[in-house]
Amino acid sequence: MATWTANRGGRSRFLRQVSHYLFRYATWIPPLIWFNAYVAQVTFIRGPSMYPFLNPQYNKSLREDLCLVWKLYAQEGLRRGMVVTFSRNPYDPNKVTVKRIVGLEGDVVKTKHPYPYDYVAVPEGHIWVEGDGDKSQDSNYYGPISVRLVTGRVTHVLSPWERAGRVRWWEHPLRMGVHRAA
Amino acid sequence: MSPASGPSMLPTFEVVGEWLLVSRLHRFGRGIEVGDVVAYNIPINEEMGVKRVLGMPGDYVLMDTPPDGEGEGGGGGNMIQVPRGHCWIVGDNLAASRDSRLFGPVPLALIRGKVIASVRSFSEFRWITNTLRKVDSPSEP
Repeated sequence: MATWTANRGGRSRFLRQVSHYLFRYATWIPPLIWFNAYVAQVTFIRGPSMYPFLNPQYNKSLREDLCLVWKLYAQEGLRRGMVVTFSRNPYDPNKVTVKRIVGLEGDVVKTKHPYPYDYVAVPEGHIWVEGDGDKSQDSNYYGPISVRLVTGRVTHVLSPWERAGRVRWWEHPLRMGVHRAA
Repeated sequence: MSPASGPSMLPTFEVVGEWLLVSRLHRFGRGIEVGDVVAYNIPINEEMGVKRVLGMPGDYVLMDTPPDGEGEGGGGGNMIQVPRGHCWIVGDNLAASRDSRLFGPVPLALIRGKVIASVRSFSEFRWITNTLRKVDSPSEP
């Protein structure tokens, strides 16, 4: 009986509480979207393009690697060996791709199979990206890509516990056949 | 809304003092057609440019500058097909424009938006529309 009396006039209080919670949580949505777009994002890696570095069991299980992608100042200070996401693969502007940087601007890269020429000089403002495995659609398909397409770098692996940690891209051996400009 | 400067779009936009209204709904090349004026990230440096789209994926475009009326100047007549996910972007002032003739086809992902209006002062506001019209195909007998 006591609760019933406490609930009298409950409709207005209900509305007040709902609007209160809506305000409290909905105001976080735009900052979160902004944060995901410009600062950092946690994302799943799909497909075998970075096999065996990411998704080493892509053909044995449905488990996908969970990675932290750092997006702040992503286009500055790029180095060979970094794992970058370039949003918007040059073929399809609505897809995000993850690859490793093989050559910076000015480098001469020995290309792999589908590319029509044996060697390519990476032009100004461009990078040469390749997947770690041989099952990737990379610069050997579409040529060097513009640095402006880069949206982030993969800095941490989060999900399979045994491989969680920082992405030590500087320990990864550089690919053979790259003549460095500087 | 952003200021624009430079001679590359000269008949359409002045060299200085032009402010452009850019529709971000058309970013990443969404709904862009041949003839639209777009703002895009220049692929070879850190700047932003405004140019006209001359070719969408699959179109065939002239790679070099076309010769002028007397048949002088201009490059070869080589044409390429614009690759998947790219577009061909050329300024209106061919002589003073760094565009796809220099850096090749531009990925659609670098397009920031479509220029929909220009403002020179508060009194001079004009919409920028695509002046290309579809030709009525002659009816087959």
